[in-house]
Amino acid sequence: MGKTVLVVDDSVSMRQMVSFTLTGAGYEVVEAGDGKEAVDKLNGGAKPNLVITDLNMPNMDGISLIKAIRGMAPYKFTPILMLTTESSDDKKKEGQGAGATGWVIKPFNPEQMLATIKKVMPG
Amino acid sequence: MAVDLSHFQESFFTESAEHVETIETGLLELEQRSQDLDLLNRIFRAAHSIKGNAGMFDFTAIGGLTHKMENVLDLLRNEKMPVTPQVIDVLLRALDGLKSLLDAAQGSGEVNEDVIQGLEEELQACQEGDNGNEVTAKEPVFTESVGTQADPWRLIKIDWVPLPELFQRGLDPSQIFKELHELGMIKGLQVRTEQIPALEVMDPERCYLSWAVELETDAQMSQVEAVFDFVRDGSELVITDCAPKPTEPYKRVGEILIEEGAVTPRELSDSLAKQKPLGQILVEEKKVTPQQVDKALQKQKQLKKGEAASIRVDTEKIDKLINLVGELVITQSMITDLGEKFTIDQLPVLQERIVQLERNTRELQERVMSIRMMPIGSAFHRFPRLIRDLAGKSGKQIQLVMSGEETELDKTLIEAIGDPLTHLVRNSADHGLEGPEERVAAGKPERGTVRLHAYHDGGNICIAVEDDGRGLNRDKIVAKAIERGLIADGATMSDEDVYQLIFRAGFSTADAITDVSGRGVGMDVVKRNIEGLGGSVGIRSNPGKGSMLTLKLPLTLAIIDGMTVRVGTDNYIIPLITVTESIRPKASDLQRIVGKGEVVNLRGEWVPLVRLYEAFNVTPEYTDPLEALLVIVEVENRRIAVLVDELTGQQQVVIKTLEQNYRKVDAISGATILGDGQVALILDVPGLAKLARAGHTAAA
Repeated sequence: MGKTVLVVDDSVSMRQMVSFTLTGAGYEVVEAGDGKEAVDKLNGGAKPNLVITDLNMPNMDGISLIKAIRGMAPYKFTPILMLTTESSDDKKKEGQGAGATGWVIKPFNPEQMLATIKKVMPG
Repeated sequence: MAVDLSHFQESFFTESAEHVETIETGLLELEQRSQDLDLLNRIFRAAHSIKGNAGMFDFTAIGGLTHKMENVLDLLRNEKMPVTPQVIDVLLRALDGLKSLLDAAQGSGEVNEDVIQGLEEELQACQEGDNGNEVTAKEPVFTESVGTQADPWRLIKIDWVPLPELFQRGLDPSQIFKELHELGMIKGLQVRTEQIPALEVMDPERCYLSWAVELETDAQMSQVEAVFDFVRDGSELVITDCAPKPTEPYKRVGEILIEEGAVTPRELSDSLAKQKPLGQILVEEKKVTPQQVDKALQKQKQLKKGEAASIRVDTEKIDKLINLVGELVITQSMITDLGEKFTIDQLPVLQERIVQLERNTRELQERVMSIRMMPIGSAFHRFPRLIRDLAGKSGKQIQLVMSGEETELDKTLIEAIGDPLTHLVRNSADHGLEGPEERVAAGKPERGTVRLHAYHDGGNICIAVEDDGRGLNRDKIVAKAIERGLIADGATMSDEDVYQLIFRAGFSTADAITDVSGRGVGMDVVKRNIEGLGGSVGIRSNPGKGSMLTLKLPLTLAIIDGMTVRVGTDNYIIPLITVTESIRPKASDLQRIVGKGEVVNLRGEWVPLVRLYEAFNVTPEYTDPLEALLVIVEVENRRIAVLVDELTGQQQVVIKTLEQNYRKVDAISGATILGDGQVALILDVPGLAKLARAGHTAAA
């Protein structure tokens, strides 16, 4: 069975692009427009094997979302990748401190993203 | 796997346009509320999104410029730099540069790369000026990091003590080994278990193991290090091999010159700004005429228009539509069901279901139309900036008050009214409002007000542009109209008629065209454009107190209210908005005037008469106006009488274009299908008026 990935980004074009890439690689995709929507989807029964989230988002940002996910028992160990344009260590540290597994630095090409997913999601 | 990202470019452009708008309005608001951190964050986030997404779609230049803007915005929101008019000015100009880059990426307009470079340098200077060199280091974001060139086979030793919270971050050590294995051969793997505590104190969610790995590989050191990217932080990690080579940073000529103090960023961008558009250079070198350039630009615009456009729709609207379609299908199946075993006593049931079908259809129509509806605010967004620029140039103090931005209007109309509206707002600010001294002398507040107000009025939408300036000067207008030969000397006219003169072609005068409002578009063009959209322009003025121009537009272009008329066996639709009345004339009201053709006397005014059957070469029932009917239509303040056999009704019709299916026909704007399945042609009233004038010359 295909693995499910929850994609969280407020930018429609980014979501479309990420979803398109993932679907093409055989993953199931659930989309959310911000942290709040993502939490709703998780509470509503979406059971992703991986979460990919943007950091800068309205309503609930990526860091808060990561903390929230780690606080939910079923997702304690679920890999979470953050999408970030910051190559600086600060943001990465902040994310990891919150419980993020890894990151994908924008801009990335689809191949890079798929490679990163393979890196953190047991196959 | 190669993935084509171009499908998503359109979303990117739509999104970027929204972000650009957020930044622009945000920056303008920021001038008033420089301490508003929420606002700054909002602007920052918009710039940040454009940057991130631009990189994804390979728009390096867009990403680069936005990145520089973002850096400055970051300093502002972290209060490392004060919000000053200068900074906002630089950011706004950078935003203009960004717009041009976005346009160019969509295939319209050209970008002057040096101007962009100049802007980037200005932003850079802006950021350095207040903050030393601290932030500038984290520059190259747009680099491809993973090389593919292989190094020689060798042994790499890795000693890794992971952080205990490894699992709580969703990490899995076995993934690391899998990845290492893909890079080469794991020659030795030693697991150290000495840190594992006694079972009763052990936390199963912590990692107590550590590893020593010997990897034989031809992979680059950076590739090996990359395996540990996500676990490095908090881990103890020692990888032994050669050190990576440093890379040389690349610099542009402009950057070097600024660094060496040879020029200031401002000087550089001033010089860069002197570069002219290609068209202007060609004209100056007399290689082409300005007309040729204009034509080419027009063509370019057309090409741009021809591109596929998209619209973003709330999912809620779509859900409702699907719901309605569901109901429609149910009703349809109910009727089908009835039809199979219909007896005449079931007639009331059938009628009831048809009523239901009608309701479904009407609701569906309304909903579908609402998809094209957008808040008019998107046409207003450019004005705060425009007013700011105008105020800056003219030395006037101007405040812009907007209301009714949420009023919804067809997307095509919103796009189409942009230019006319801009012209009116420019006019109000430029000609309408007085300078501060004049205002104070007149007992008004120093600061003038331009008010933009959108509201619904029946099936129409009205947009009012109002100013509290000097108002229209009746005497001046009359004098100018006489001078231009538009009216005869000594003519008596009502105020309304006098004001309408400013819409006449040839009224716009040289002294009215300043740097600010002269763009070669006169009020006559504004009026023509609006009427072309099926709307009208009204004008009110109060000397010394201000003036107000009101655009009245239909809600949509796809459906019009029409009057159906019959000529012989043919049906025609006259747009209801143009119809003022219909009459059956008396014989004494009809005249044939040499040089003016046939006219009819309408309460003292002689109105040209157009015989529709002659215009379209069909056989009518009546040729005598005394037996037939005259429909009086009004367009561009001119009335004409249209001779038809009879009026058959009033209904909403959906416009189907003739051009796409056949070809353009004079005096016909489209076709529609009537309830009984017959085709009716929709009359183009301005075209008909032209036909009437041409007819007169022919008759004469």
